[in-house]
Amino acid sequence: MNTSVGDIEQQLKQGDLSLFADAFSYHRPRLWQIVHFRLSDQVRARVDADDVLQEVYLDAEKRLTHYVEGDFPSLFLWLRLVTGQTLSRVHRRHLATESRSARRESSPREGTLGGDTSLCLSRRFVAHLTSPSQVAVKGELIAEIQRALQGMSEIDREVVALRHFEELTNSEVATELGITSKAASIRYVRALERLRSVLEKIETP
Amino acid sequence: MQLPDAIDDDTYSSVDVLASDFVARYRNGERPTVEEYANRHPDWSEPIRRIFPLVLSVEKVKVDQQSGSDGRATLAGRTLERLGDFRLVREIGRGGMGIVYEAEQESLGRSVAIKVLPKQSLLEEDALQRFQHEASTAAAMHHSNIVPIFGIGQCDGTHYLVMQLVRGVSLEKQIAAEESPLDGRTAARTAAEIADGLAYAHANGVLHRDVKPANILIDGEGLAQLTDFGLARNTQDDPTMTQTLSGSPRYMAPERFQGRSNEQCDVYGLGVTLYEMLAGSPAFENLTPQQLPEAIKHQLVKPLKSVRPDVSTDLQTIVAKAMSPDPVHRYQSASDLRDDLHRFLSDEPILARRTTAFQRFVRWCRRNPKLAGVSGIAIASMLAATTASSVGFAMTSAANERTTDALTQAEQTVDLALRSLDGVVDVVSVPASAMGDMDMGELDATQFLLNPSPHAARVLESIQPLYERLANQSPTRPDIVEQMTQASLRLAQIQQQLGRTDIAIKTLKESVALLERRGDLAGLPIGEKQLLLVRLHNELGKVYASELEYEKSDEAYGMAIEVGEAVSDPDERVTLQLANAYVSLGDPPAQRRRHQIDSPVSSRIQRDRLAAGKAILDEWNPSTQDAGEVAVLRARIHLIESRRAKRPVVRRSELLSAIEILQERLAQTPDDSRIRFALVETLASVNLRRQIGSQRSIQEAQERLHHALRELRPLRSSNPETALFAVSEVHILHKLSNLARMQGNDSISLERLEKAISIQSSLIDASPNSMPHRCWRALLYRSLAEVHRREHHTELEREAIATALADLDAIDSELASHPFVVQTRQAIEEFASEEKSP
Repeated sequence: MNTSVGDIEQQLKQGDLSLFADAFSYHRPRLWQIVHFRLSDQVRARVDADDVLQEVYLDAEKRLTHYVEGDFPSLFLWLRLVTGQTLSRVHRRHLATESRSARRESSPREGTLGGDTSLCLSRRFVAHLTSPSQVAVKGELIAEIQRALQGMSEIDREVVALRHFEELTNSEVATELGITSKAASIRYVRALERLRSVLEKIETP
Repeated sequence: MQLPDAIDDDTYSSVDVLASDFVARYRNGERPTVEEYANRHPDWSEPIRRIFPLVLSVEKVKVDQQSGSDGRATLAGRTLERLGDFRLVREIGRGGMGIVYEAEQESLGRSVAIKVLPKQSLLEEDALQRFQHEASTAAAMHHSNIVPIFGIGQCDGTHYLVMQLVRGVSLEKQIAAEESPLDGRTAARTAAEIADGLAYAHANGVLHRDVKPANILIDGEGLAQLTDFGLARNTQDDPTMTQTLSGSPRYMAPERFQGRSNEQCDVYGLGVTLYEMLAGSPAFENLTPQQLPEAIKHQLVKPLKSVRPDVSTDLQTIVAKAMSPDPVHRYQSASDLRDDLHRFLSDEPILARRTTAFQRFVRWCRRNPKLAGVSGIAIASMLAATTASSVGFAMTSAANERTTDALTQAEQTVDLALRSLDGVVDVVSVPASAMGDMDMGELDATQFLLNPSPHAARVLESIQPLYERLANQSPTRPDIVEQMTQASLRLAQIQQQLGRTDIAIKTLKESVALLERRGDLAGLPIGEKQLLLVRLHNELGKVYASELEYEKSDEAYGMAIEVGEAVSDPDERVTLQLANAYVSLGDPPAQRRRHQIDSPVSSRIQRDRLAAGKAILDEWNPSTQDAGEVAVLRARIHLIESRRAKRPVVRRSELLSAIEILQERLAQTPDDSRIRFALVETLASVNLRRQIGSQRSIQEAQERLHHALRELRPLRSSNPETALFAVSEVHILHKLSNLARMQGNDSISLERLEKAISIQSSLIDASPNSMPHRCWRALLYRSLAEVHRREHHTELEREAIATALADLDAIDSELASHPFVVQTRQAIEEFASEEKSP
């Protein structure tokens, strides 16, 4: 399957755009994770990740020549870029009627996926802890997690977010962050060690 | 943070390669173990055991909350067209646990329904095994109200369940689509079908665990079928499981939140479902995940009665019992629920019994000891309150204090305060004997409030200002005004039964004024306001009549009729109140008949009123709740006819009809004091002047009066402070005394008279300002004087007359010209002058 996907991307690169739909559906599950991770809570209540993906598809199809002509490391990383742009448009549209403060808090930076990673991460952790499945969550644990996340460097947070919540491979992470694969690996494992105490508390509350 | 030194950077990066492989397999639906990797790579086993669990933890955080905006399952970006032999045709629906497709099984060429479980739904190691086990158990069930399961399958790490395709809609969609909620019988039938399916499953040792409208399919013929058996356990029940899969806990029994799950939890889910069918919307709505468990535990639902007043009381009772938050008070099994629904459907008496407001409150306090404590009403003091006045009073002052505190807080504390007050009202106005499981009926219908102790009145009086304060705090809340009026009605009834009629009148008048002043502002629906007004006016009419203030009494009943007739869409409650007003106006009390000469006009008006009341009652097929009240009114009409009739035969037969109606009713509800007392009054309505002639009629009258005494005895012993019952005994004894005298049996006559006088004196001690009480004692003394005269005890005779006159002199000068006083005085003076003349 991987080879055939490699073939498809090769043919795409050579200008056979008819294969785009197949290529997109191959990457769809990972793109879904990105959208799911990056959607702010306010917008999440109104649109499904699937709706956003539909828009991502249309946007990508429109700009497919960018990919063909450009020098992107992979189709997936290019689609991730498009996803970031689509997401920020979706946020703008849905929060247009919200108050300014709500916008400021929740809207990701223009056209990028960086910026609010810290916020997205802590939101996911808090959501996990406050879900009904977590019987009795102490406020201190939430505060502790937020402290732990804040205590990490921005790039370490980014590594954890991309590896888990966006399901990027280590080499994709390295490419995106402009570091070596080995450096990315080391950062990832170290970051997990730093989260050990809170992770253990989450596992056995 | 202490980082271990043993792991160097190279090890880190090597272990990460393995971790990437591990997590990729995991995401694909495999369940590799940490040990598998540790064993395969002994050099790195230690870092693997350290790092892999952390990787898994973050992965679980990620998977949590992976659901659509509405909490329903999602395939997380994957699209499916085929699963092995099955070609997916279209998506039928999504639940918390999976996505259902219509599919074609190509090898067999048949259409089936396939439920696809998202990969993230079987995260836990043993979840898959349990899913497979439960599904195979469910597949073994064959019942017409359970959707058959054909089997389970797996394709590329995606697990699915193959079921029979039911052409129809889910109950959830049906409820949402209907413009008006389902009618009671249809809802009951659907619930009975599902209960039957559940009973079958339970008998086979299978729990459903997620009974809710979305899991009930209604096929083209209207047959209800339950689907998704046992699946919930693999997902929803597991405390480590993700919210994605827990779907909607709105139908979960309170004990489920503590991890317990049994047959009764399924019964609860069906109860909440039945509620939703009847109400047209879910019982628990618009709550955050944090609020929901509390709301379920405290059962913060709108009473069905207020949402669907047209649903019969029996069905409401069944719903209440099925969704009782306390399993002890819930149906013990699905078959019990089914059987009661069948009883309802075939118009047989159901087994479930209505919970009184008081019982609800006691249960509420038990469930919420803390809250009950906060509102100052510990259960112990509540129970004590009904017997020991001092404790009750202390408790109320505590409630007062706390309510004041609570008022400084938010709207929800108003709810709490209202509930507390309502609890206090119920406690003091319900007899201690009702604390068992005795069904007292709705308190609204309880015209006779027992145990009307002075302390009960005092507690209720002290509550009035609290209501005022609540109403000031939240002037736009109609429930405060309504509850306040209800409390006033009860207070007035208690005051009245204690003989404190003047205070009762004041209470009622203030309540009318308050309702007029605040009702519209608070947004009280016009129908509710009118009903309360009719009740208040009727009550006023009754109090005035007991005070012999006939003009005011007529006026009040007239107002009741005016307001009641203006109700655009009168329900049973209004109609009953109207009938009461008509009959009351058509039934002049004895004293009035004696002292007023009826003009032909007023007599005709009375007849018309009576006919109007009779017309209402004749075509009424009362609900169980109103049956007592209707019986009393019907009997009263017969009694009036009996009084009016000129021919003795008619008089007698009408009286017997009245007695028969009441006796029949009393046989069904032996604990209904209203009925018992009405029977006493009817039996005692012997008119010694008109009806007595022959020895036989004396005999019959005597028997009837003794019967009345026997019926009265239990009322008197359990409610020694109820003036009404005491007055009744006095009158019966007085009549018996007169009959004994007519038969020449002076010693018995005297004995009865003395007993009557002693009771009457205790009544006067309790309310020294009551004019009727004084007049009656004066008349008793007059009879006493009569006995003494026959015995030639002149001294005693004089003494009796002097005491009689002293009673009349003690009457307030404003009332001295009241016809009853004037007539009484005349009677005594006439008797005294007779003494001198011969």
